[in-house]
This record gives sequence, structure tokens and C-alpha cells, in this order.
Amino acid sequence: MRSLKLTTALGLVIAATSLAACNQGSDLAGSGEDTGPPGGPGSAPPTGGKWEGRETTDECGRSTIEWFVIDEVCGATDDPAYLENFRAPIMRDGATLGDRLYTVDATHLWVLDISTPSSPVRTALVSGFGQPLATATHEGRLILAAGAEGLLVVDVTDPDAPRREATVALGASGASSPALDVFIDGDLAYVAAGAGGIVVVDLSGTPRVVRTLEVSGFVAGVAVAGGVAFAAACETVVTLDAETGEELGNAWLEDAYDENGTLVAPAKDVLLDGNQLYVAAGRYGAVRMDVSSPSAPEVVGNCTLVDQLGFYASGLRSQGDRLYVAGGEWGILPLALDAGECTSLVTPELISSLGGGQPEEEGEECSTEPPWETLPWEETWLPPVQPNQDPLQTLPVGEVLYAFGDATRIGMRAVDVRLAEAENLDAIGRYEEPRRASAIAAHGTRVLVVGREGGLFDREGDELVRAEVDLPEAREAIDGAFLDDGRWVLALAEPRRVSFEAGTTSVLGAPDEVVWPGTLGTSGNQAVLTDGAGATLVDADGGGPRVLFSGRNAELPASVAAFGGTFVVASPEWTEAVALGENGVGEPLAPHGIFGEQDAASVTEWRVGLPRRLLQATPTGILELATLGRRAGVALHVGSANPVPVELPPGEYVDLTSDGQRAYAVSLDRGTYRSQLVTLDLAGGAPRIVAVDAWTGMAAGVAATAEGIFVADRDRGVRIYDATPDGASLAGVTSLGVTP
Amino acid sequence: MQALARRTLGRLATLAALAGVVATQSGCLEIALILAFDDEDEPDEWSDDDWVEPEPPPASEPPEVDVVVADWPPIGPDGTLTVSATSISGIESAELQFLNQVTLLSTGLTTAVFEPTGLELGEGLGRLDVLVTAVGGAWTRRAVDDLLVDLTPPVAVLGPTTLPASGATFDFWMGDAWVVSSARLEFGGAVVEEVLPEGYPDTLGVSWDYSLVRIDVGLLPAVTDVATVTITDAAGNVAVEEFTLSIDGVPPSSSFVLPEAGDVVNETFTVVVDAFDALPGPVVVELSAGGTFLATGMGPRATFLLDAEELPAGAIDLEAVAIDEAGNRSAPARVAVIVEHTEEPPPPEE
Repeated sequence: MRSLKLTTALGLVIAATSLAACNQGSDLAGSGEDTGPPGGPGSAPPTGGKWEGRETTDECGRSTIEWFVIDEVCGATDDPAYLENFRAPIMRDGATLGDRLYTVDATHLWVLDISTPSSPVRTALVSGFGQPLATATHEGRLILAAGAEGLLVVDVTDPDAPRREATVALGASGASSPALDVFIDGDLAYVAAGAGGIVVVDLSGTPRVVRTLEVSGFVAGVAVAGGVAFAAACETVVTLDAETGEELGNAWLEDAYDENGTLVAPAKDVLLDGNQLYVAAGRYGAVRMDVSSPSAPEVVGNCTLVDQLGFYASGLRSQGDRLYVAGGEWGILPLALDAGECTSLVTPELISSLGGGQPEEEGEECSTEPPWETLPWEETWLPPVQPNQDPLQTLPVGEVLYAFGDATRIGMRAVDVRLAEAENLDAIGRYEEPRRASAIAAHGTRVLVVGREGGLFDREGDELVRAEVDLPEAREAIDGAFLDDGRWVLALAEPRRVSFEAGTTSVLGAPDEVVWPGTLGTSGNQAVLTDGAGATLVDADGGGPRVLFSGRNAELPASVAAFGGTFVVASPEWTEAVALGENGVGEPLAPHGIFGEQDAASVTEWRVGLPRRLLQATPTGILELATLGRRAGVALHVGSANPVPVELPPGEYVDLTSDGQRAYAVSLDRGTYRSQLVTLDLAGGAPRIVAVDAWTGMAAGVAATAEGIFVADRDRGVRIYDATPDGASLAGVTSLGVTP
Repeated sequence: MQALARRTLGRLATLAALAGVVATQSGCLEIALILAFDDEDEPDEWSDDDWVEPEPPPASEPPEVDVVVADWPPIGPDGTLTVSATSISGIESAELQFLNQVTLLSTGLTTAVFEPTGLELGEGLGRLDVLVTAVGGAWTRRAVDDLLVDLTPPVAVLGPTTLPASGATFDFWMGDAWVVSSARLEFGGAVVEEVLPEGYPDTLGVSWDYSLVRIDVGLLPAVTDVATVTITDAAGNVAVEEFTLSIDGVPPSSSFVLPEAGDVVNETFTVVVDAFDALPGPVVVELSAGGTFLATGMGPRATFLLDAEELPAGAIDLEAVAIDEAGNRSAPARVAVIVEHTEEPPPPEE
């Protein structure tokens, strides 16, 4: 490019010849990579904590969001979504009545038969008890601190069919007086009610509030003895006259807040042992206080693990001369209840914040931190499993110690059973949420279930009957499907391969590629398995694998569907699906329109909810389901026109199928252990939601034929529905792994 | 502070030059100076192998050259730096080497001022070399390290654009390849502006410069209208983005169609909730029973199929809350029903 310009400056005529982009001999730096604005933390917070984003501004005037771990009970207590933060896949507390252990996860009441303590067996799983956060017992009844619902008295005369006997609301505004914890003293229940103080409920006769003890602080835990109430009030510990409510005294650690204003030593649970009070305090562990004089409580010291960042004390229980500190991801710390323990103050290492205002280097002025690191999606997608630890609370019962947790970062509820008196609290048993099925496919009445209890089944009436020929490969497989002629096909890993009914197995290339659920498709007698570059096509009746290219890179597991003899793939982060071509050039479909390119690149949206993409071939065209953040939608491609997306209920959608003019999508909510089957009507070319079937469990897949709609549920097995004009009618549930 | 301060340099060398016009292999037409010089005062760090070394200079007076670059702002497309040259032999030309190679000609007077623009120099962060040649061929060479020329327009990265009228903020990020400077939102007669202080962030040359702009919705009118965000970078590049912003002060409504108060529900039962909002966006319906979250659906009519066996037998309240796109929540609709269990409980797990 050449330009010539004449100007007059200071009486001179200057001729300028400007030559653009020649870049001869220059050694210039570029602006650096545009990674977009900073996003949020890429993983769940450690057990006992939650993320809080705070706006910070550096010396250069740049504002950003810095992420801090704050206590899940004592942090951000005025957040309108405060109670919603407890919806996490973790057990929180439990109580025993007879041979039943009643444990809660803030959504459900789980009933476990502990006749054989080392082998807990679930006998009931019930919702409708508010947000159960903590448990106690009173005269054979179960008492639940149920969040905004208040204090619940539960009749367990039939131990496996608990009924709500009474509901005690704690205040005019449930949000300001949630029931967070409960302590029973005789016929009185002392309820830790956050900013509402301590609510005293008389359980004799018809349960009723008898008084409220105002506390300067946010009460997360309470204990009572000798007419004195001891309140763990987050930023302090308060002693009160349990009768009059008069505050007798208060004391707490001097360095409970750090320099960022974060409460790093939250007083969140209390346990009284004689005149010694132990307080669960996050990273500060168990703080010991001398309360021999209730009007002058004193901090004596604390027991913690200074350099173990996974240790975070949330709950305390004792038995005999032993104190059990539920220490989050580190596990349970047993301590001796004697005069020599926890007598000096120890300052632990703390979890640092993410992003934003890290300490600036000395001498630098007006500098900002480098941009945020890209979301480590793989960690979130397939979190590392660290079983057998991670409690929020414990319950010693004779020789046995139950530990409730395991864990927000793993996404699995569990109760560990340990030997209470053993030095290392040896584990002897465990109950964890089931994972019976992970994928499903159907052909006529034939149903292929993939997962721990997988195999081949036939629908007979309202149930599935296991086929005579066992299919052990289905229990190792990642995904499954049927060919058009009814033969099953399985996708397996290590090595990455596809196995067909009648014995043909093809090992695929690209051994580094991971086999993900939802990445297997079929057409005719061919199976196709997606990968980062496209997909590999395998013919059941011979011939080597054939590689097809999308012409673009799939960062996340791509879904696939066959339509009109062509395989269409879509990675969750793409805004358009691509028809695979053998020449390496994929042919894009029209954008789905559910979210745009900018949203797809938004780390912030990814933090809220990972993108997911599901494809399904229907008689009308390719149906796309896409989710990102809290948004979910479907779009039906009819011809080459841009599809009109339809919003779906928010959720983590895991599978999509169709039969005729009906499509079915399943989603789950790990935080509440609830799942949904969404029935869509495709007639007319625009999807329409017909109905939402919701149940307790964890959906893993869905398949539909003229013979039924089959939903794989990790919790139970397979839910069988029949199509009706009003949606899908539940015909039955076949439990897998249960003795007939 | 980065080294972008004013550089006033002294006399360097006695030079003479012969100018000619050549074309490079890349097709860039340039005016090359074929020069000769004595290297007595050659600037430090000169290492450009591509530079054509001058022939020995004829006898003439080398120019005195000042190169002035303002501390602030950095040079944008129309921004300039100033090269002032004086020689009793007369000034013939100035040649500048940055991303582009630029030659500016004078008329031979004893004093000349050259003001190349950022657009002429090209974009980048690095060294600028200046060679001023006097009539007769004598020349003086100067250099500026870490010069910033910013030609890239900034960007706006918008957060949610449908928001409630209270208890929320409209968030967006202003970003620039080099140094972002200000953001201005115009919406429904309201104008909100944020100007960053002068300064070079330490992301310079490493990554893009982003800053969050957070505006309390209380400062904005509760209307749906076209909003304009104008982002300016420190070099004067401007980006304007228009979009629809909706500040929604009206919560949706919700009501139960089914079941009716006092109904006995068992097995699979149907719940129908109507949910309406004044704006056309999607309305989510959250359904709970006994204070426990059960399901989400979509308005204007959400149909749920629920299993009574999963709820405790006896009286229970169903509650529905509609949530519009802005996040406004309706007053909860409630209906009390009686749950009846008719099925045998599932067998215990193995």
C-alpha cells in the first residue's frame, strides 16, 4: 500500500511517503493474547466453604473480581441466595433412632438401615422436609433444622415412611431466621437461627416457640448446659442466660478476620465438655474456651493442622473422652478431651484468594495482575475422586463413628462408617449415593443399559427383565447404542474401541482421546465415535475404521447424530453443528441461536455452568440442545433456515432422544439430587415443551422407541414411561442391583 | 512508569548521504538513504541488519535532532510524535523505522519539524529509529525505546442485559489491546461514565487490558431501550456498541391451575402452574413442596408430573415461584394438598 500526502507545517512543505506493514527490521512486541475478561474460579470450593466474588480496584484504576473462599455458614449471610448455597452434593448431619440412621443433604432425608453398621442399606429417600441441614432426636421423634422451613418434628413410627408431625416457623421472615442447627435439652429445642438468634421451642405437647434469645451475631451453632446457652455466632462466641436471654459474656480469637476482611476463624459449631467449650472454626480447627465463668469466657487455645489446607473444621461431636473434629477434605481429627489438649493458640496457613489483587511487587506502580487462567474444565467435568474422607459432621454411636460428607468437590453424597475408638478411626463401611447406570439405548423393547449394573434387558409389561445372555461389557462401557438392525454397540476405553454384537471389536486410533458418554452414534450398520478432530466411523460388518474430520477443534466432548446419511457433530463450545466431511472440511449448519459466540467464549458463563451439547436426528431435522451457564435451549433445524431456539428449564442436560414427533431430554441437578424428563413436541417444526416429569434421582440417559421411553437413573436403575398426549406417563421403575 | 518519556537527544555524528528510491522484495516502495558516516557517536543498541548502511558522507553539517514523545497519551491513529531537526546545510528528509518504514521529505530549509502519525508508523510496542538527513548527505540517527503505537479499537464485553430494577448491577468489561481508558453508558436519558486514571498497566505487551464497569441499576431508568456503550482507549481509539438493555421493575406472577386446595394426590400427579411476565422473555417456574425444591419448568404454563411417593404422606404445601429473565421473583403461589401413599415402598438397596 502506498499513500502520498502533502501538508504544511511551520512553513515547510513536507512530502510523506507512508508504507504500511512492511515491518522491515522492526522488533515490536504485540499486545499479548486477548483472553477476555477474568472469569471466576474454575472449581467447586473446598468443603465447608463457598466462593465470594469481590470487586477490587488496583492502583491503576482497573477493577476486577477477586474470589475468596468464605465459610458456607458464616459468610455472606445477607445474600438472598444464602440458603441456596447449601444445595450441594454432600451429607450434612445425621441422627440414629433404633436401627435407622437418618441423614440429610439439605434437600432430602435419607433413611439407612444400620442393623449391620458396616453395611448401611438405604430404605427410604424422601423430600418435602424443607431444607434439612441438621438433625437431632426427641422421644423417638426426629427433629430437623430445616432452613427457611423452620424446625420440623418428624414422626418415624414407621421408620421408612417418615411423616411431618409438626412445623415450627422461626420468624416472620424465614430467610432472616433459618433453622441452621438444633440442640436438645430435655423438652426444649434450642435452634440456631442465624441473625434471628436462638429460638427456643418446647417440644412437649404441640411444639411451639417459647422464647427467642437475641444474640449479637449470626448464630450457626448452639449448646446449652446449666441454664447457660453457648452460641457459636460466627464472629464471636456468646454466653447467654438460657432463660432470660441476657448476654453474659463473649469472647473470640483476636485475628478472626484477615486483612481482606474475610472471617477466617468462623465460630460455626460448639460442643460443651464440662466447663470447656470447643468451637469448630474452619482452618483454625477446634478452638478451646474456658467457660467456667460464663460471664467471662476465655479462649484457651486451638487444635488445627497448620499446613494442611484441606483441613477445615465444620462440626464437632464427642463420645467418652474423645472429641471428633469433622475436618472437611482432610478427614476427621480425633482429639482427647483432657486438660492438656488445645492449650496454645496456633495460626494456620490460609487459603489464598484467586484473581484480582494479589500482592504487588515492591517498587511497581500502577500494575495489574495477568489475566485469569482459562477454566480447567476437565477437572470439573471429571472430578478426582477422594473417597472415605471429607466430613462436615460426625456422629459417634457406641463403637461406630458415622461421618457425613464426601463431598462438594466430588459431587457425591456419602456416609462413612468408622471405628470410633480406633486410633486411626479405621473405616469399616460406607454408604454412598448409587451409580447404577450411566447411559442407555433402546431398540423396540430391547434396552441396553451401560454402567455398574448394566446389561441387556427386555421390556415386559411395566418392567425391564434382564436378558438371558449376560453382557458384562456393558458394565465396563462408556456409551452404548443400537444399530438399525437391532444389534447393540458399545464404546469402551483403554484401549479406545467399539464393540458390536456378534463379536466384532474395532480398536480406534488416537489413543490419547478420551471416550465420553454421549459421543457414540449409529446409522445403518455403522457406528461413529467423536473425538477432538471429528469422528471415527466403524462398520459393524467389516472394514477398518474411517476417520472423518469436522475441520475444527472440539475442546469438549462432541455429540453426534446421523441425518440423511451424514454424520453431524457439535462440540458444546461451538455455536453451530458441523456435518462431517471426509476431506477435512466440515459443513456447518445454521447457528443454533441459543447463545452466541461471545457467550460461548465467556469464562464467566462457563463458571456458572459448563456448556453442553446434545444432537438428535428427528424425522423433521437435526434437533440441537445446548446449555451454557444457567441457560438451556433447543433448536430444530428445518431445511437450511436459521432455527428458532426455545428456552428449556435450567439444568444440566445429559441426554436427548426422540421418537416420531416427540423428543425427550433429561437433566439433573447434582445439588438437589433431582432430575427431570422434559417432553417436547416437534410437530409444526418448532419445539414445544409438553411437560416436565421430575423425580428424586440422577438422570444419566434417555432412549425412546415406540415401545416406551427409558430413562437411565443412577439412583435406581431404569424408569420406564409410556408416551401420552400430556407427556410421558411413568409405567414403572426397574431397580438395578437390587435382589428381586 | 514505562520508558515512554520525552527523549531529547544531542548531536550524534557527522554524516553525509545520498538519497535514492528503491523497491523492496515485499513490494513496499520506500525511499532508502544510501549513506556514509563516521561511527564516532553511533547510538547504542543499533542492530538492524536490514538497514542499508550509508556511503561515506560528503562534507556537510549533520543536523541537530530532537525527538519528542509525550508521556501521555500513547500514540493512536492520529497521534503524533515530533522530530525537530536543524542544520545550516538544510534538512532534506527524515526516515523512521517502526512497524512501517516512513520517509518524510523537507524542502531544504535549515529547520524542519516532522510529525508522523500512528497510522503511518503502524502498531506495536518497541523501538523507533529515526534518521534525519541534511542537504549534502550528513545525517543524524536517533532512537526511542518502548514506543507504543495503538491502532486497535477497544472492546466492550457485556454481562446480562436484562436486569431487575433493584438489588443488581449492570456489569460490563471495557478492554483494549494496550491501555483502556474510559467507558460511557447512555441509556434512557441516563449517562454514566467511568474514566480510568492515566497510567500504563503491567499487562502492557503481555495481555489485553480489562477493567470491570459495574453500574447499580438504581442509577438507570426502569425501561427497555437501546443502550450505547462507548469505550475509549488511551490512544483515542473508540468502540461503540449498541444493544437492548432492559431494566425490569415488574415481577412476574404465578398461580396454580392444578391441583386445587385440599386435593388428595397420589402416585404420579399433575401440577400445572401459570406464570406471566410483562416482558416477552422466558419465565422459569420453580416448584417446591414442603419447602423442598422439586422441579423447574417454563411459563407461561408449566406442567409438572410428580411422584407422590417421594413426598411424606399427609398435608403438604406446594409452592410455585415465577422468575423472569431479569431475575425478578413473583410472590409465591401456594396450594395445600394431601399426599397419599398407595404403592409399596421400593425394596431396600442391595
